[in-house]
Amino acid sequence: MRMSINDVSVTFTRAGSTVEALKDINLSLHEGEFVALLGPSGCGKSTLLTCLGGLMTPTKGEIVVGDSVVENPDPRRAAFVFQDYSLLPWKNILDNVGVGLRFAGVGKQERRQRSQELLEMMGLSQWGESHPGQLSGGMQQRVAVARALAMDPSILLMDEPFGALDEQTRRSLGESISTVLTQNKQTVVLVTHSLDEAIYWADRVIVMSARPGRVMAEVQIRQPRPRPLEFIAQEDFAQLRSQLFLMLNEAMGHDQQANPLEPQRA
Amino acid sequence: MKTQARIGRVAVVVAGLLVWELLTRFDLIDSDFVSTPIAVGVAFTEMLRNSEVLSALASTGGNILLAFIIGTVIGVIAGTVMGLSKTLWQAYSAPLLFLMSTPKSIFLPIFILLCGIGSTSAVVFGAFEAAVFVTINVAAGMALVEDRHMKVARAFKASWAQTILAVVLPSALPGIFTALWFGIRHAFIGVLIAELWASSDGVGGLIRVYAEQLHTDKTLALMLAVTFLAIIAGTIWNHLETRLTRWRQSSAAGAATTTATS
Repeated sequence: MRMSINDVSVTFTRAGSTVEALKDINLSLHEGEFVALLGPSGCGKSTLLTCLGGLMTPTKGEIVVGDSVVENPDPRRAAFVFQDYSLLPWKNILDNVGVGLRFAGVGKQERRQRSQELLEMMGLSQWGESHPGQLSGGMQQRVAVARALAMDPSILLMDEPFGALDEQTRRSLGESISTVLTQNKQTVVLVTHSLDEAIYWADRVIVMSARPGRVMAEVQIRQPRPRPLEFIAQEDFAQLRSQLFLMLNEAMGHDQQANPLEPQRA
Repeated sequence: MKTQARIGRVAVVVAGLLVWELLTRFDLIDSDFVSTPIAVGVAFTEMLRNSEVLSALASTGGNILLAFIIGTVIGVIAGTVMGLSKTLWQAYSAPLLFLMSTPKSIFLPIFILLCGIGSTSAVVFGAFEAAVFVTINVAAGMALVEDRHMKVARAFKASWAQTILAVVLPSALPGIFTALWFGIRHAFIGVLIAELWASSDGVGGLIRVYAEQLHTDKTLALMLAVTFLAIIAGTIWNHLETRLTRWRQSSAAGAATTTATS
């Protein structure tokens, strides 16, 4: 479903002072598009994602999905994959995947069947009866993706989903999830501070600047999806990477000495 | 090691009983006041056939159950409300914690004045004692609810009731279990204290009567019975808690749980 972000600004009041997190964001996403929001920490990219999913109302402006303005969370419209997985530790994996369906009043039989399908898609079919504490971080994140996909959402919102994982895990996870998402023709918004992740995944990379968060630039990645891992080793990739690196550097305030990757690890 | 610990424990008890028996045998201490282990044993077996004792046990058991139910219901509701509202927590946590560390028996005369001498004041006092501890522990249990799990509930559009059932209660379960255990314990203590002071019936009343009549053997036997009941209740409770919070053992992220004490 088409999504447009119209003049969105967000201001917080924190400890008496006003912080401008986002300023005049205008963007539109078409159906099936994969967009990466890239920027230094504090650029408000996660705040924007929170607004897109209706967990927060912008101070100014509006977000429109299809014909309706986003005011409240609706997982069928836009489902979240959170950075810290946030699985419910007292529920087994199958019930975690089906939790949104349960909230939506879907019957037990249908719920379990759908959850099992998704676990198979994620290569976790034999883990249905386990609890989240028994799974590795990468597996838990795949469960969190399955939980979001179970709602069959028009839009998938991912907030640094691989941030907590090691390099090897995020690569292999990236490849498998990428395939699933392309098959599902999902519209995806991915928040990340990793250049590689943004280029490997997205059709379009939006570069944001810090405080107040604004859209600085955008770059189209024309390589068809799903992309093989070898894409990372190709010349195009390297070029895009250096292009984005410079943009990101500028987004951080023109300091030629600063390494744009460094402070974002916080 | 475990067997050694067990042997050590039994040895001390047996030695204690032996010393006690010998001291009274040789008239080093007066058996009228302290009785003897054998006399207590005999009184204990006789007691199990004594209808006066059995009906006292039944009446006290009923009072404890009633006090537990009333105190727990009040405590769970008050604790949930306090746990969900920051303002109420800030307003009432300090007085409640103060109340928790004060011996509540000093309030007993008030309860006796209000409810008279008998079962009613025992139940009401037991319920009061239980409610204080349950409230604090349930409220503390609510603090175990994590924001990220609440966010999941919101993002996946859980209704208010679904949020409580699927997120709040399971998160707070360890706290609630601790709370219920304190509820049982303090209903037990409250009812017995109230009966000891102001009731002619029930186990507490009976202990007082026996003690006043210098039936030391019977007094001690009755105390022994009460202790056994408390141990049995505790064991059952432990098993139940382990069963219902089993996911915690498999979860690496399982947080430390037990909250307030005594």
